Amino acid sequence: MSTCSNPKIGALLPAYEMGILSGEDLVAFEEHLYECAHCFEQVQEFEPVAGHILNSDKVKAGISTIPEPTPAYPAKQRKWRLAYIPVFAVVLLIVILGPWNIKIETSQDAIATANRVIIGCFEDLTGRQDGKQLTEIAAHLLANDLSESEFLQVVPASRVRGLLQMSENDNICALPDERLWDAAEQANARWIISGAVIEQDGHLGLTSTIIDITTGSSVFSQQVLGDDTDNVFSLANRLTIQIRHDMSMPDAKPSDSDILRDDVTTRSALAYKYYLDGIQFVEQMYSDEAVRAFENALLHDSTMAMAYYYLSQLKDARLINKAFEYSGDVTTRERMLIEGLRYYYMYNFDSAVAVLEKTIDRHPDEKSAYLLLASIKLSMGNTQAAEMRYLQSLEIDPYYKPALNHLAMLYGQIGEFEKAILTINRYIDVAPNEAGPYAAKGKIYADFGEIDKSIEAFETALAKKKDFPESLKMLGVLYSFKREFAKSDSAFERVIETSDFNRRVWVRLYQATMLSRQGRLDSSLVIIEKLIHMGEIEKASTHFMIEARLSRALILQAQRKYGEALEEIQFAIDRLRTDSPNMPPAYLRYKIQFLTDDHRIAEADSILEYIRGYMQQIPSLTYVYHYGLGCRELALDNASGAIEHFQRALDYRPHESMYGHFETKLMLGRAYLQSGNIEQAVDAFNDLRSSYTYFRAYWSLWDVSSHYYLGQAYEKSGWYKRAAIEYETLLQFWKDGDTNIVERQEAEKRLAVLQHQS
Amino acid sequence: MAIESIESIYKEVCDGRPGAEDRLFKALSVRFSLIARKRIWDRQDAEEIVQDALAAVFAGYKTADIRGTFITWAHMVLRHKVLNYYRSKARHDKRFAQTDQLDLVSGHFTPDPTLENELTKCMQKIVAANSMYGRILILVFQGYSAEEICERLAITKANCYTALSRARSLIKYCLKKGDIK
Repeated sequence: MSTCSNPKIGALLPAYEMGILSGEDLVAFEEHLYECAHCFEQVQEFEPVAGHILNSDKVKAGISTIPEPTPAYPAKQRKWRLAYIPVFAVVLLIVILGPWNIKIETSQDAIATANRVIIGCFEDLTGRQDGKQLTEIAAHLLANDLSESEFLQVVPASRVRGLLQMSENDNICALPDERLWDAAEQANARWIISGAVIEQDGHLGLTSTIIDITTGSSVFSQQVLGDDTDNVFSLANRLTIQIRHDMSMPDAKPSDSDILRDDVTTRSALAYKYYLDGIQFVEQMYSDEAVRAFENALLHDSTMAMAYYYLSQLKDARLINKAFEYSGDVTTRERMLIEGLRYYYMYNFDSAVAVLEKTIDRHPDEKSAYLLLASIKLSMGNTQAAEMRYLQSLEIDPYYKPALNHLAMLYGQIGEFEKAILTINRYIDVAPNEAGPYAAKGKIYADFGEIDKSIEAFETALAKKKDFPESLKMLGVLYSFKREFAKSDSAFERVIETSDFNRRVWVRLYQATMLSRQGRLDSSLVIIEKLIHMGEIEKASTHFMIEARLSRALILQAQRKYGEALEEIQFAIDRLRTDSPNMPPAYLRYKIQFLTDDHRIAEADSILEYIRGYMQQIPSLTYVYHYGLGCRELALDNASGAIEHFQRALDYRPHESMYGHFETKLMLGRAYLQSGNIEQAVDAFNDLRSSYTYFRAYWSLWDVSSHYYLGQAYEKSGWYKRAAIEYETLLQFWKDGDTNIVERQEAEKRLAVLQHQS
Repeated sequence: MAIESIESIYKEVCDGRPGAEDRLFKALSVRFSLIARKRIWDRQDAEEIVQDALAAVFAGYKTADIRGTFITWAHMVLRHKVLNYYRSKARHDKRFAQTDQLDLVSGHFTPDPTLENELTKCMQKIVAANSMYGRILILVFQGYSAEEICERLAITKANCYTALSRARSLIKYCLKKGDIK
């Protein structure tokens, strides 16, 4: 007879058969079964018996009838609660309680874990038209208000939904009681609070019941009834004070802030409802709908700080200042999120991280804080830390869609294609009927050069939501790479139809860039100039204004109008200095490049000297410095020096996105070409084609020009056929374009020579 | 029944040995079936999951980035299939729960009346003779994990596993002989 190949793991066999192994032990034992004939046979042989022990009611009943010796463990919970609390959701049941109080754990260590609470079902017992809306608001307000206490941790509703495998639209009140109990146990919560919105003599009221899950008892119930002056906000505030008092929380005594906090977050029920809708849209990645919802919330309450907080992320970063201005009325948790984001926008990453880590210490289930931290870590170039934060937020809520989306994007960015696709597939499992996950999948495929699969995924996203702007924008870009410009234009026009001013100008800028891809530089310039003019009048965002100026400068550079290009770039630099004084002056690299193109080396040197002086203080300028030096050396025909500096620029490039990658790779390819390192030049130029991104689309002019440089590289290495293909490709893109572009003229000449030779 | 080492068959497959892929398929099928049944206790559903998992493994093993062992990777595929099953079942259950048709999706365990009778008698004898086992079983039925059971009974995991192991031997003996030792 065989023996176990690993007795240490083999010892887990009886526990495995009884189905009580979990986590690493379970996986380890199952993997052991693949290789250990002994254990495999044992489990197989005993399987029918184990099945009957675990599943047969008769066997279970036989065991349960055996008199139980005095237990050395606390009273059983699950059976008890199933038997005796069948109507947990009937929360209006008024439990008459004795004068005894439950005591909240107040020791420092116990605060974090012992006093966790989940908010369960809140029912509408009013029959009013807005009853459901009121219950939603009441539950949210109660969670927010209670989370203010130093002595209580409220498990966020999204975390509870995650544990219950529920979507945002599912009704928690429809669940059997035991599911909520399980969720509470998994979340390490000791208390469940549920309640109802009631109406008495025409006045609203709120009731609540607190269950201690360690004993299964309903320990308290509260009821507050309003009068003519009350609304759901004041009632929730009063209910919170009662709950705190009943639970003998050390901070139960109403403070001035409690009394004044009738207007926590907002005074308007409608504003709050729009706000809650907005959060749901954010999680679905439906940014247009989210913007509308938050703007509607602000229509009903123009001082709602958290609506500004979200709008600053969706629409215009400057709105964070409004959020900050009105943050006096929000909860501590919300204030910390606002502060963290504000520091982030100010490029004060260290302070942002400190605030958000404090938020997590205080509210360990606040998954949006992890998400924000991940974004900051990414901006700091620390992809590992960003990944860890995304994974932590997914530990809190495995169904947290924004984290799945961002994590997949991160994997895409660092070249982990399989992980990216696995994460996206998980995202699709979570939200199969939403457009977001398919658009994210399209983005991953595009990043990895699978243009047809990418288009297919974006089209699927559109089938889920026909006006999904992310899909339409990206389809506009992808079709342009395939030279299907009519389809590209049509996709962009469809975005414009449903967009506000801010997005409209961005999409128009992309359309102008697509004209550059066709070599129609003068037409592109006309559009960009109009956009700049409109942007100045309508006060478009700083980011847009700078990118529009840069786009114009790049066209002027291609037309060899260096003086005008430099003026444009100076506009961009000045605007940035005024609007975002803390942002590193990264655009100086283009100024250096245009100066060196124009052989104004001394002026370029003085800027390089200036940057060098700040490199210690602002490390991200190291990239700018080496990029600038690379351009300088290339202009001075020192190709090997240029290669070294462009390589170093790539090493120091910030990692938060494809930022700086395209132009640096192209310049590196040109330096290799100039130095005669043809193989490396070909690699660098081909590398530019390995993905289909917004960045590559943005650099359309250079992207198409790279066919000329690659053609030169092939020609120098004797691959004339390939060289001809590259020249022809460039000329195909620019067949309807301006005839005075230098690269076009050169490509025509070279192609003619090659055709003549063949 | 002798079973072949999966890793060594996988190596043969990678070396291109004829027939190795068929042997790998059979060997994996046997393991997958047992593990899936243990996780699901529904033969029909388990079999479907096994077929899905096998299809995924054999469609993907040539191109997958298998960084650990083949077993770890293949087992991960199976675990994901089981997880997906539970997720879709949860969604399914929820839909039926909302329409009061929960009974339609209840478990499919079919008891063997003879084994059930004999086992009930044996279990009663064993639990009466070994109260620790009885306590463990009751906690098992209540859904507690190994860690929780040990914590509640104030025993180490090793002691808990030993108690389960002894009981297991007694059950086998009792079912064979009709009584406990």
